[in-house]
Amino acid sequence: MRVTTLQSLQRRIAEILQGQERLEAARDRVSSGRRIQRPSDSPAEIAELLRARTLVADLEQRRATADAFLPHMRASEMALGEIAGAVREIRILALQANNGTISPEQRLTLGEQVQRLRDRVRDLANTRISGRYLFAGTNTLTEPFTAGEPISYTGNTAPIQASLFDGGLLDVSVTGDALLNRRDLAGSGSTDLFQNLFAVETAVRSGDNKQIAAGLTALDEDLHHLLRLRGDMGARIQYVEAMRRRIEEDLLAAKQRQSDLEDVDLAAAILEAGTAETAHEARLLAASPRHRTSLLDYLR
Amino acid sequence: MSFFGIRLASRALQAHQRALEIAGQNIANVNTPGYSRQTAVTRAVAGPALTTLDRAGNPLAPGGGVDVALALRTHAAWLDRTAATLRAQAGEAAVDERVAHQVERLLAEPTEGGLQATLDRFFTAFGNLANRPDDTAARSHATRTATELALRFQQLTRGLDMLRQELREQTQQMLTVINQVTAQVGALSRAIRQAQAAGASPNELLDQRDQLLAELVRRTGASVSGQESGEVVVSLGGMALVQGESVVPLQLASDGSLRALAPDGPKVEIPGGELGAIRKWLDGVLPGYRSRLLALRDHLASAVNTLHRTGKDLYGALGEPFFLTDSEGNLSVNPLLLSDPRRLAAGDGSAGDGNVARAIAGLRNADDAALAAYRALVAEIGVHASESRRRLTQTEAALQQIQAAQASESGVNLDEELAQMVSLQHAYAASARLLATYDELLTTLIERMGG
Repeated sequence: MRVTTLQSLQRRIAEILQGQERLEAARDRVSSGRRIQRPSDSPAEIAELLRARTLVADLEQRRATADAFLPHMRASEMALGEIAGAVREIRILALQANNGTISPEQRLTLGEQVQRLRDRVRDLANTRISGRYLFAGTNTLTEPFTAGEPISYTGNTAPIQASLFDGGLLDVSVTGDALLNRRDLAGSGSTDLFQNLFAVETAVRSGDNKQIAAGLTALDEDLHHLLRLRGDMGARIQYVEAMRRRIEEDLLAAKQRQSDLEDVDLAAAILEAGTAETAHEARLLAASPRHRTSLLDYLR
Repeated sequence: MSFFGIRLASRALQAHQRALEIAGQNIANVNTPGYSRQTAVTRAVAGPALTTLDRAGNPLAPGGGVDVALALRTHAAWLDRTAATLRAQAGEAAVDERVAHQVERLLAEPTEGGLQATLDRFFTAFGNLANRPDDTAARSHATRTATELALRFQQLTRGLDMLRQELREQTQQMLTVINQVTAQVGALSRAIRQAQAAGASPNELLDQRDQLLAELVRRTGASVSGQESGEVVVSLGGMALVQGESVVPLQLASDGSLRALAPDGPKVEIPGGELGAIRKWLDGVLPGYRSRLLALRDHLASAVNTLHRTGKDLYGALGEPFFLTDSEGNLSVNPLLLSDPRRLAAGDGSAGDGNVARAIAGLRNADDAALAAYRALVAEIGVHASESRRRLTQTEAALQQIQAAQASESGVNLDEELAQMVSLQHAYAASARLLATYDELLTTLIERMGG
């Protein structure tokens, strides 16, 4: 085959350009650390990469949900425990009052103590964390338990819900309504926690032992209910914590997958860039005039 | 003895000078693309009158020397057809690669600026809103990411529109070039016919015409025939664009189709080449991408709107449409929600209910089919880009081989020409010496006769 001057020159130029392109791409991969920089870098994997990125975003969102609600749930659990403690103290005070030998002054003191504890129960039921009332249902911005007598509930009966897995909903709050433990009385009307506390206070102040005994029974029931609510919240916290750990594991796996898909194997990439560079230098050398001989060099 | 020897020697001098000129032409055109090497075809010239006979009575012809019969154009015509096909394919692949790359750049996947990441930010913002529906910051963040999403869709469709506009302009420019080239081919064909009729060898004109035809094929994928026999026919999808010296100009009609002769002339389909690829993107591929993006956008917007309407804002009013489409078909977030984030219907109207926001965030998984369609679109564009890049490399490699084969036939090798020059120089010197010898002989003769 005849080798012609123009053709050989064009081929050298084409090879040098190709080498530059290859070198540039290899350097790009090293400096960006990304194996897939655009869809055509690996069309077979791009859809999976986008899916992996979306999965990572989704799992991060779920983890954020767990992180957002766990403090509320823990605060709820603690508040429920403290409410139960206050109710238990009231119960002890009522037991003290339920004694024939007690003086009217002592009854008055006991009554005041019951009142203070009742106020504390109301305060606890109005617990707020980052501007949000815990026991107000979804009416999170209004104080759920009003002052005065009777204490009325302004929240609603819808618990706050969180979604920790696709399509699954978990109640993460106890509504004030549930806290009140409203129940029908055998005879007439209904009663709830605060009504019972008021009734006990009145009975303690007046020394009506029959009413105190009735109040104690009601308080026992309320206490039992509060402890059940607290236990239930504790179980839910554990569930959310377990979910969070699982989400964390899934997230790690998803991020690993994403990294496998899009990140460059740096050692290999550097080696590749080095090889491309050497090859490019060799091509430049081959094209240099020093290495091209011509008949012209030998003719006078 | 006659003066005949002097004529022989002078003819030899002329012939070698002519051959040297041809070598010079080759050397001068060493870097001219499309130049076909020429060779001096010399032939021995018969002597004039047959004066001497050999013993058998046959005429002894001492000969009249040498002359250059013609400058032969060494052109590998049999490679032209393959080269033309490859050139059309390479042109097509080059446009495919360029446009696919532009679309890829527009999509900007997989980066934070891509639609996928924008969608993820949107869904995450609504997930956070579902966690804190009573937080005004979460509300305005949700509307902000929604605005970002609407803008991203707008950028994508606008980018595709601009790309189409660019291609339309390129079509117009390319048509101008094609019409110029066909006109030149026609003019050259006439000049070639006239030169050949006059007995000349119009090698340079043939080279020029071949160059122009190659360009025509690269741009349109036209098929060319008759380069050897003289009447060149360039046909484009069954329609003769050039036939000998008559040429049909192409026009871009107002409806975007290509017409022959006049804007209302017969329709012309471009079979391939650069223009063929441009037409393919312009009429088929890009509108397809655009409508698929719009379908995804409208699907998402209507899903979000439907959900949003089921909720109530913080004033207790039912949700307004979340996304609006303006008269130009652009998506935007309802300005009501932007000016007052409390109007966002995140739930049932109570401050802490985020059911609607949660449902919107849940579209990420619930509506995966629509989003998978987008991922498929990205993958498809990726396949398109990488496939056209591969095709370009392959056809260019094949084209290079063919061109090497063509060049090996018709290209200029400087060393060869130099060697030729040396040999011609020697021959010229020898012829001159011959002339001098005859001169001496004659001088001797004349002097002796005179003495």
